[in-house]
Amino acid sequence: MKREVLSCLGLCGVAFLALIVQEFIPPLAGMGLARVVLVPMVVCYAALSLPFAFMLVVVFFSGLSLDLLNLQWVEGKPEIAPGTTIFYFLVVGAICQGLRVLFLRGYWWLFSLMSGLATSLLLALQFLFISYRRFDTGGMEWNALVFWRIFTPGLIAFLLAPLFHVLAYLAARNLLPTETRPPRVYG
Amino acid sequence: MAKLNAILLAVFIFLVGVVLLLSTGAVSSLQSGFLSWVSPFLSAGKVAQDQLGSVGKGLKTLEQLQAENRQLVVENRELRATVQMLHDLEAENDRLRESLGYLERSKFRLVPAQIISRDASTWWQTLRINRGFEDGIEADRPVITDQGLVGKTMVVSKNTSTVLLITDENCKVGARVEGTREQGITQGRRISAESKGEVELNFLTKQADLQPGAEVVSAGVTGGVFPASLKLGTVKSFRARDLDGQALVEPSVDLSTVRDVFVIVSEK
Repeated sequence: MKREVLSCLGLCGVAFLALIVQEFIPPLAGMGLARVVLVPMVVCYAALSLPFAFMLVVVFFSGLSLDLLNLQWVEGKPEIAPGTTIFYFLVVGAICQGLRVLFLRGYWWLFSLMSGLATSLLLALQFLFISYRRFDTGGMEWNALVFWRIFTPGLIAFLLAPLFHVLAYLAARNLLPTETRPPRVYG
Repeated sequence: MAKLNAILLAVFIFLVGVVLLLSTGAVSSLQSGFLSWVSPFLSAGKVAQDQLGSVGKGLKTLEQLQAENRQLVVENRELRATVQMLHDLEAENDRLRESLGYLERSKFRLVPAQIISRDASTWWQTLRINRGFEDGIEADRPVITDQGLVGKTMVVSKNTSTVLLITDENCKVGARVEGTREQGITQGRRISAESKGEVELNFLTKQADLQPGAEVVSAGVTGGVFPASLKLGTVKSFRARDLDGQALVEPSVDLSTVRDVFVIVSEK
C-alpha cells in the first residue's frame, strides 16, 4: 500500500512537471507546428502500473490541471468545458487497467501503444469539440496540417514512452523506500 | 475490492460532474487560482529556458560581439535622431490639434510584460505573459508593442495572463483601412497549409480593390476592447466575394519572435 501511495503521489508530480515542461517545448516547425504533449503518456503509465483507486487520483489531477491550464474563453464561455479531459482520461485509464496484467507481465510496448493513441485521440477530440463550437463560422476544416498536429504528438509519445518507462523504473528502484522498491528487472 | 472500486468510481464521477457543472464565474476563479499557483513554476521554466538558450548565445566569438556592438552604436544614433524627430512632430501635432480644436488623442497607461511561453496549446493561438491582476491587468485588455497590436488578455491570474493573439480565429477586431472609407472585422485564419500567420479582413465592400501595402488599423468601436488607430498590419491581397470583399492582412508584429509587450490598462 505504501508503495502505491508513493507511486501515485510521484506520478501526480511527474504529470504536473510534464504539464510545465510541455509549455516550454517549442512547436515542431517541420511537422505542421505540432506540439509535444506529455501528460497523456503519464496518465497511461499511471493506469498501467497503479491499482484502480490510485489511477483515479492521477486521472483527476492530470485532467483537471490540463483543462485549467489550457482553458480558452470565447465570448465569456469556455470553448471546451473543464472536466472533459478528466472524463477522457478516465476512459483511457479504464482501458489501460484492462491491459495492466499484461503490462505487469512484461508487455511494455502496450504502454507505448496506449500513450501514442491516447495523445493523438485527445487532440482529435479537442479538434472535434472546437469544430462543433465553431459550426456557425466554418465548422470542421480538415487538412494535412490538422492531421500532422494530431498525428505527430502521438508518434512522439509513442517513441518517448519506452524511455519514460525506463526512467520511471530507475526512479522507483532508487527513490522509493527499500521495502517498497520494485524487483530488479533491467540490468 | 470490486465494491470499493465501484464506490470510488461513483465518487470520481460525482467530482467530475461537479467540475463540469461549475458556473462560468466559478470556473474562471478556479482557473485564475490555478494559474496563480502555477505561475512560479512557469516563471522558473522561463528562466531555465532562457539559461539554456543563453548557453548557445554565450558562445559567440569576440569578433561577433564587436560587430554587434558596432551595429548597436549605429542603431542607437539612428534611434536618437528618430526620437528627436518624433519630439518635433509631437510638438507640431499638439499645436495643430490645439488649433483645430480636435479632441485630444487617446493616451494610455501601459504595463510592460515579458512573454513566458507562446503557442502553448495545439489549437489556439495564445501566449502567456508575466503580469497579472496584481499589476492592474484585467481580462479583455489590448496587448500591443511599438509595432502594433498583438492581441488581448483572456485569462488573468495573480502574476500571469493568457493573451489571445490577433491570429486566433476567436480574436475579432473592428478595423479600417487607412486612406480609404473601408471598414471590416479582422479574424485569425483556421489551421491550413496556406495560412502563413495572416489575418482575414472581412466585410469590406466588393469594390474596395485594396492594394497590397495599405495599412490596416483598429477602428475603435464604442464600448469595444480595442481603442482606435492601433496598427494591425498591411494588406497582402484582396479578393471580391459574392457579397463582400476580403483582404488578407499581414500582422505588423512578428508574433513568432516578439518577446516584450505592453498591456493597455487604462487611459491616462
